[in-house]
Amino acid sequence: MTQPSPSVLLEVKGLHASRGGRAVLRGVDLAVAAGERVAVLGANGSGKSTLLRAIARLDPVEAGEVRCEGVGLVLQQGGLFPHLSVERNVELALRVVQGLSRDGAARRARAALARVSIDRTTAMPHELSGGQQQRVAIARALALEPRVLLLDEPTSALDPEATREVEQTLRALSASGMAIVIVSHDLPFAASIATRTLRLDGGRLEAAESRPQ
Amino acid sequence: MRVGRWVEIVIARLLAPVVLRAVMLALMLASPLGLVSSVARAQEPRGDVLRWGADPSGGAPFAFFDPDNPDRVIGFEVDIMAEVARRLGRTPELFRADWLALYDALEAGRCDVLMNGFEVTDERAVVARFSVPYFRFGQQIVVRRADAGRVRSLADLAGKRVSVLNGSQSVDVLKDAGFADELILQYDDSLAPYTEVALGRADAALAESIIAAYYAAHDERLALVPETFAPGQYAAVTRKADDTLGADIDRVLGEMKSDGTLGEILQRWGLWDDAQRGVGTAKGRPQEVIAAARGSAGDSAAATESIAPAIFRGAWMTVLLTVTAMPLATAAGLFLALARMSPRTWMRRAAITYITLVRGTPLLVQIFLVYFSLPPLGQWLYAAAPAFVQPLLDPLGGAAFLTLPALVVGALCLAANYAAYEAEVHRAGLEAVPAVQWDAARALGLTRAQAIRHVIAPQGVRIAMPAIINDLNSLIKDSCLVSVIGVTDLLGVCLGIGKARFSVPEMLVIAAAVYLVLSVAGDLFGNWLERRLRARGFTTTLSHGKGAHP
Repeated sequence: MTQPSPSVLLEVKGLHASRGGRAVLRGVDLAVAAGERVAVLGANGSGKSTLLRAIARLDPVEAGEVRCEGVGLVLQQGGLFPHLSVERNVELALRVVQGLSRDGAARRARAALARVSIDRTTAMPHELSGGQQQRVAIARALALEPRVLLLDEPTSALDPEATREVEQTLRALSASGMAIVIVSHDLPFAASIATRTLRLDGGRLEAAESRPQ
Repeated sequence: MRVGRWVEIVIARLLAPVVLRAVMLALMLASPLGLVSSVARAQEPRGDVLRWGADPSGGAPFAFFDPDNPDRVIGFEVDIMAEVARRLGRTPELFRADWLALYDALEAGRCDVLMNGFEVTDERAVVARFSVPYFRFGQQIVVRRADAGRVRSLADLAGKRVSVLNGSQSVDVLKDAGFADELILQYDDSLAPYTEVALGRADAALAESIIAAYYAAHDERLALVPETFAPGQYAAVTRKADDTLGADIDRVLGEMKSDGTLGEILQRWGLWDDAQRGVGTAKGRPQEVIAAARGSAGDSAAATESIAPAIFRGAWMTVLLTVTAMPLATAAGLFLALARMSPRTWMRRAAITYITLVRGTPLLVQIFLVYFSLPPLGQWLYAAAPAFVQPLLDPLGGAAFLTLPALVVGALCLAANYAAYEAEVHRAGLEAVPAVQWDAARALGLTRAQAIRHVIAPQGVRIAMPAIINDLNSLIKDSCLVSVIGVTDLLGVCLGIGKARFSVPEMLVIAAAVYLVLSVAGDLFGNWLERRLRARGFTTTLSHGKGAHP
């Protein structure tokens, strides 16, 4: 086994996983380096979400290995907690999982929200636009200081304006050295943001044909 | 308003259904195991207070709510016990419970003696100790006024339907006279036999003369057949093991009979007749002197406004029961629902067993069982506890640490019962929380317990809130079942006043109106709560600064 290069933050080898009793991933290999923005395309049911869930350890891995340096997952539609305000959404894991004080968590949460340009910190999620909600979900993952950020269909419910907001946010994050993997249906968005585009087909990842920008 | 009387009969039968006797039976069966009675018998009467048991809802003239002041219980037995206690140098304290529950209350040590129209019978003398009798009665027939001349004895009622008080000696008298079971209509409520005659569903009522005379005199549709027969006697009841108190009461009652004090009390209540000499009671001072001293106690027409404070206190009791039981039930129900959804098999089974047991048995039975099992259970636990535990329990009452007040037991039973229903409401709420919320919590690194506490439960409760408010509304009315263990809630107060004043239908309408007000208030609170949850979100424990450091 070759030693991975230091800048590779996420490495997946021979990953097998099932969803609903059906084998959807049959030997996926993937390596993502710092500053990369990888878009994964594929038909419905091709296993794109399963791949992200397996990397984030929400679903069990049947075979293969995942090496990852602190991963954050942003679920489809954000998955914000509707009963908590924006800042409480971001603070929750900081306090409950990391055990930070109220002040410490609030400081980290404000910083994370500033990185995605959200200032309505006391608003409830349903009071925000779709693009703002998606950025809060990103901030919630960022607050835990991951080095790899996984996003599942981040623009599926967004209008072009909101999509542009999310794209700017992601570009800024990768510029600061984060590795980003985006699963998407949105071909223009994927083509616009990705530094590398892959296609999940038949349970394996392969390089997609490059498209004109 | 006559329809209301029928409603009252239905309610009275709901309040004291046949099932209670099954509970008694279960308690008696438990006796050989030593769980219920043997430990209870060991308990000595408490200090200088003489706790005596009676059911004020049983009606006049024994022990009943004063029509002019429904907070007060009056009656000839109240006067007798006051004099008995005075002569024993003790303070009388009335212990109230449903009549059917009185004997078990005595055995459980909740009171020291019973005096509430207990007829001396051989069956009862096997399990309890009867004092010397304090009243001699005969059986007497009540008929509709139109039949007054035609019925002179039981023989004239052959083949007719006769209504009686459930469990009274009149039942045996009818059976001995050859009446078929289907002709003997038994009622748990003291007023019901007479109402049934007046309404024509029964042809006559048979009761002990003292009761028959009282009710016949208060309903112009009824008439009393003068002749009495099959004499019997009332006596005070004590625990067999408690021979000292029994002997003391015998001695004092004997003195009261011979010096005319007992005779005077009976005269004052219009209960004196020459039959009383048969049990050794001497007549007291002339009747007119006593009647003058009695004042206006018998005048039930006056002071309508004085019932308002009693109704208010009854309503307050209902509110108190509801506002303590419902939050407890909601919280306990949430834990039950979570246990039911737990990955651990034993937790799921325990929760399902509890929910099935509690939802599958009547609340009334649960209240009865818990109320009468707790004191002996406490004594057993105290006796079985290691030596170092006992001093810890002593400040809580020692062996009597589980002998909790009826109000507390009532609230706890309501909470425990409703918890089983809230568990299912919560389960529906928790399962309605979208799966993505679980994923989001786990993606952030929360454990299952943390996810439930901070993410799933707060949302589940919010989804379940309309159903919980619905159950709150239902609890306000179910709380009336605690009246069987002597808590005078809204319905208990209104029925008590109604029976004392012969205005049960009117009082039931008042009770219904107050329940409606409470229920609407509950709904308004629920609407406010739902609006608040929707508008501001449901802030979890985090915002209160608790539980942040697991």
